[in-house]
Amino acid sequence: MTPERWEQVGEIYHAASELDGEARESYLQVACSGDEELRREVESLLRASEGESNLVDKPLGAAAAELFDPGKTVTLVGRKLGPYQIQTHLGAGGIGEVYLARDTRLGRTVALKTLSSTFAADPHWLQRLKTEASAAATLNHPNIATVYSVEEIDDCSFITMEYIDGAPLSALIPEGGLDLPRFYEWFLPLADALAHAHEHGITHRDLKPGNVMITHDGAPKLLDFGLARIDRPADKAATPAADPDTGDSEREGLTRAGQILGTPSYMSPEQARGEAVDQRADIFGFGVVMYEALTGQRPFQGDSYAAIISEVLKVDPPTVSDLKPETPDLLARLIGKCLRKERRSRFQTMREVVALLYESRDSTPRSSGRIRSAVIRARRRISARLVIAALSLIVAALSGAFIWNRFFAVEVAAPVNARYAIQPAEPQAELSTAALSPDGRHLVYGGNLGDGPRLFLRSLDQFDARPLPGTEGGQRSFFSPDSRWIAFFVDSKLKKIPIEGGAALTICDDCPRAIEGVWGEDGTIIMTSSDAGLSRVPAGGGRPGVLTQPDAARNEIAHRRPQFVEGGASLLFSRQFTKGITLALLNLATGEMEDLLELGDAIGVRMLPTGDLCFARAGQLFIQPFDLRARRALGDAVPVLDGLHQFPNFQIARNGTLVYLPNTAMRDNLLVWVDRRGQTTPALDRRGDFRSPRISPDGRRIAVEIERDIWIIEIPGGRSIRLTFESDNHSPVWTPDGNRVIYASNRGGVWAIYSQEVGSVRDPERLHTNEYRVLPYTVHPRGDHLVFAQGGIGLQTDMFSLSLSGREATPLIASPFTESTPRYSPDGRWLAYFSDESGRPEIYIQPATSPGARVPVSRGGGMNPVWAPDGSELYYRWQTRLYAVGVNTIGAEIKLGEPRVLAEGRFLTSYDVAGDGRRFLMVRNEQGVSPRQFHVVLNWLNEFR
Amino acid sequence: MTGKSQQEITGLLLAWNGGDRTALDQLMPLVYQELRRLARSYMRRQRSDHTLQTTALVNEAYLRLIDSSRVNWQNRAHFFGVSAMAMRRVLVDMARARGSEKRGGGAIVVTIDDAIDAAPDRSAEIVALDEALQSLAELSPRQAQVVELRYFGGLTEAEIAEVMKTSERTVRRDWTLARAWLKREIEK
Repeated sequence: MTPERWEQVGEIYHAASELDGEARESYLQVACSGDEELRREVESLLRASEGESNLVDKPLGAAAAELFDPGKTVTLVGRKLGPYQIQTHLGAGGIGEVYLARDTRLGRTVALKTLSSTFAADPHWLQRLKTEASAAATLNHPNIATVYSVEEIDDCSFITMEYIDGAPLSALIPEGGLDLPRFYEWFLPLADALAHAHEHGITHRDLKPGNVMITHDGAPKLLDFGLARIDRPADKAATPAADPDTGDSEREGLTRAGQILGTPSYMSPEQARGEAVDQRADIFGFGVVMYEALTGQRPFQGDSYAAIISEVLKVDPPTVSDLKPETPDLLARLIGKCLRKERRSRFQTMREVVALLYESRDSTPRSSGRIRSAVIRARRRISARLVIAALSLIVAALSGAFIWNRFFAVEVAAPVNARYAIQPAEPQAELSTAALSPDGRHLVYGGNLGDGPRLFLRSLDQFDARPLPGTEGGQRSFFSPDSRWIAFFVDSKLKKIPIEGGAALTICDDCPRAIEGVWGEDGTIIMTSSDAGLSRVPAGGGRPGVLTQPDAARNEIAHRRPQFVEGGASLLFSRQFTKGITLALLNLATGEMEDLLELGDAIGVRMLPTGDLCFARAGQLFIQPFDLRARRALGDAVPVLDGLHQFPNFQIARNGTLVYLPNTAMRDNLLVWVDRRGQTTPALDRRGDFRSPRISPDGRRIAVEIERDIWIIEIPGGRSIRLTFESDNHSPVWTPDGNRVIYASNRGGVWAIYSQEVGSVRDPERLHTNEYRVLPYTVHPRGDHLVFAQGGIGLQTDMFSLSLSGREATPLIASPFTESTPRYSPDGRWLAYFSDESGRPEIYIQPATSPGARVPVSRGGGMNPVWAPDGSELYYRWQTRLYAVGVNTIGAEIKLGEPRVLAEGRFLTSYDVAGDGRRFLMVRNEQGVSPRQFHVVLNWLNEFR
Repeated sequence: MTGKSQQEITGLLLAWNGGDRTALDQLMPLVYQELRRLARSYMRRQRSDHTLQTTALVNEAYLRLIDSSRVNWQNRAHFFGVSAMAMRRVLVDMARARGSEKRGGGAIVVTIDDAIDAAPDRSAEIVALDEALQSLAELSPRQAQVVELRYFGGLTEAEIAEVMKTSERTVRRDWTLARAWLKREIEK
C-alpha cells in the first residue's frame, strides 16, 4: 500500500465510521465504486476498530514493569552460583526467574528459582520465605516436588527444588475435561500429597493447574509448597500489625504483585477477603482444580481481576454434574463441598477428601472389582486364622459345622464394603464417647462451636453435622432402639431428645455417677458408672433402681457395657476386676448372675448380631466365636481389624456398619534429638508412633516401642530390627552390657517381663510373670537386678525390685500412692522416681539401699527422671517441659540445684539422654493426641456373617 | 547522572524548539538514559505498584532534566514528545533483549504458576507493536507519531496537537484510524 492509497482509505474510513447499517453500506458502495480491494480494506479496519484491544487500549504499565523488574533483567544462564551451574532459562514465575541448574556438589539437576530483588530486599519477607521453604523441604512424598534449599549466594537469593520434566496440568486439560479414569489416576495421588503436607502442618496456598506437573511417566507432582506466601496477598493482610515499620504501601506491594502476576480464579473466599488462611483454603483451591480438570472450565470466571474475585466471593458455580452428567454423584457433591464459601462448611481435612475420592471411584460400577478383591484378600487373611479356631471346634464336636458355615459362607456372599473417614468440623469434638444409631444412619457426639458444649448429629450419608438444640452441656449419648431418640447425660441428669429436634425431656434427674447407658426394646434404660454396678430406669422417666453391685471383696470395681440379649430377658455385661474383664450374664427376671468368660484386658466387649463376641485389645478388633446358649466360647478370638485408637471407641450397627476411632494421631510422631538450648533435629527420617526410646550403652542403637512392638534402630543409618511380633510390648530397657533388652509383654494373655538377646534368634527369656500389668524401667549398673512398676486397673502403681539371677520380685516401695518411672543413678547408689504422695507427681531421689529417706527434686510436678551419664544432673519431664537439676552427692549427702527448663515442646513423656549428656532423644508429637476422626466401614459385618 | 546539567539540557530543548535539529540528536540519548535509569530505580523502590506508569516516569524525567522556570507549556509538550520517543526505544530495546534471552533458553515451563498464562509474554507484544508502528510510519508518519506520543509518552490530545503543530481533531482522527490499523495488524 502506498501513503496515497492509505490516505484514501483513511478518508473513507472516517466518513463510514460515522454511519451505520444501510447508510454505511450504501456509502461504501458509492465511495469505493467497484474497487473491491479498497472496500475490503476499509471494512476490515471498521471491524478492527470495534471492541477492546488487550494491547493497544491497555496502559503499558504492567508490560513495562515486567521489563524493568530488576530480578528479571539479568540472565543467570552460564553463570555459577556456588555449586550451582546455571544451564538454561526455564521460565518466569511470580517471584522471579526459573533456571535449570546442575548441583555440581551432589551431581543432580535442580530447578533454581531466583527471587527478584523486589522481594528479596525485604528481610522480614525473606526470613519468612526461608522458614516456610525449610518446612516444605521436610515433606517427603512421591507426588510432591521436593524443595531442596533456600540459599543466598553472591547477593542472589534463590530456592532449589526438584526439577520435574513434564508438562503442567494446565496444558493437559482437554476441552470438556479429563475422562474419569485419568482424573482419578492423577487426583488420587495429588489429594494424598496435599493431605500429607497438611498433616505436616504445611499449607500450599496457591493451588492451580499451573502448579501441578505431570511427568513424562504420567506421575502427577505438586509444585511450590511453601512458596505461595510470596504471591499471596492474604497472608500479608492476615498479620496487619506485624511490621508497622514497613508501612502500608509495602504490604500492598506484595499484594498487588501477586494480583498482577497470578490469577484469583483459584483463590478461596477468605484469601480474597484478605483473611488468615489455613488448610481449608487449600481444600477450596483443590476443589477448583478438580472442577476445572473434570469439566475443562473454571468455576469462577470473569473479564477482570475484580470480576473473578466477585464470583469467588458470591457466586455458586454450576455443579460438576451440570456440566458433565456422567460424573458420579458422590464426586460431584465432594467437589461442591470443597467449594463452599464458608470454610467451616467445607471438608475440614484433605484426608476426608482422599477417602471420599477413593469411595467415589470405587463405588462406580466399573471399578468395584478392585475393592471386592481387597475384601476377599482381607477375608482370606481372617480365614487362615480361623482355621485353627475351626479345627478346635471340630475336635470338640460341638455345633462346629454351624459356626464354620457362619464364617465361611461369606466367601460366596462377597458384599462390597466401603471405607471412609469422617472428620468432624466442630472444634473439641469428643469422639471417644460418640454413639452410632442402631440403624447405622446417624452418629452423635459432643462438640463445641465456641458457644458451649452440646451434641452434634451427623448422618453418615451427609457431609455435615448439625448441632442439636437443647443438648447444651450434654455428653455420653446413646440411641433408642428405633434410632429415633438420643439419650444423654447432663448435670447429673439423664435426658432424651428426638433426633429431628424438639424439647429435651428428663428421664432421670439424679444419676450423678452414670457414664454410659443402653436403651432396651422394652423401654428400659440400663446405666453404668465407673465405680459401681448397673442401675435401671424406665425410658419414660422415673427413679433409677440398683440392679447389680460389684464385689469389692473380690477386687471388683464396676459393671460396664450392658447389652440386652435373649430377647431382652438377660443382660450381658463386663465385670471389671482389677485383673481384667469377666463377661457375665444377668437374668433380669430372677436376678441370677452367671460368669461366662474371662477376657483379660479386652475393652468394649459386646455381642454381634451373629451371636459372636467382639472386643478391642492392643489396638486390634477381635471376634470371639461364641455360643450363648451353650455359655461358652468356640475357639480362640481372632483379630479382624488393626489400627484402633488406644482409647478404642467402636460401634457396630444392626446393618453391619462399623464406626471406629483409628489410631492415626500418633502415627506421625518424630524421633528427635533435642539439645540443651531446646533445638531439635530429626534422629530418624521416618515418622511413627514411637514410645519409650532408650539409647544403648554404646550410644549406637536405640531400643524403642513402635505400635506396641519393640524395635532396635541403629543410629545413624536407621537400620531397624524388630524384636517382638505379638501382643503388647512395652518399656524396653538395655542391660548395662548392651547385649540384651528387657521389656514387658502380655503375650499369652498374661503380663510378664522378658529379656532378649539383641541380634540373636533365640527365644526371649521370661524373667517374671505377674497378674497385673508390669513395666521394667531401670537395670542396676551392676546388672544383677532391675526395678519395675506394677499396676492394675483401680490399683495404685508400686515399684518392685527383680533379681535377674534368682528372678525374685520384692516390693521396693509399696505405698497407698503411685510410684513409678524409677531410674538408678550411673553409680548405682541412688534411685530417682516420681510419687504422687503430695497430690501431684513429683520427682524424688532416695539412696538405693535405704528406702524411705528421700529428697524431693521437682517443684510443681515431675515425671520420668533420667540421670546424666556422669551423674551430675537429673532430668525430668513435666507437661511440655524438660527440666534439669544439678546433683551433687558427697557420701550419703545429696545437694540439688535449682530446676531449670532445657526444652519445651509437644514431646511425649518418655525420653533418654545421649552418652555425652548434651542431647536428648525425645518423641515429638506432630498431630495432637486426641482422636480427630472416625473411620466408617459400611457392610463391615457382612464379612463375618 | 546524565553528565549534563539541567541548564544545558533545558538549553538543548529550547534550541530544538527554536528550530535546531541537531539539538534533538543530543537531547534524545540523555532522555533515553534518564528514563531507563528512572524505570529501574522506580521498580526497585516502588514495590507498591507492579505497573510502571510511563507517564509518571516521563514527568519525573522532565522534572529532573529540565529547568521548568525557563520553559513554557509548549516546550514542555515537546520534551514529552522526545520522551515518548525515548520511552518507546527504551521499552523496545528491553523487550528485544529479553526476547532473545528467552528464545535462547528453551521454552519448557517447569513451574510455578500460570502467571505466564495470565500475562502472556508482554515483551513480545511490545516488539510486535513497535514493528506495526514502523509499518504504519511508512504509510503515515504523522499517525505513527500520534500513537507514539499517546501510547509511550502518555500525552493528552492537546499536548500531541501542540507537539505536532496540528489540530486536536486531526489528532483524534489519526488515533482512531491508527488504532484500528494497529489492532488489525497485531491481532491478525
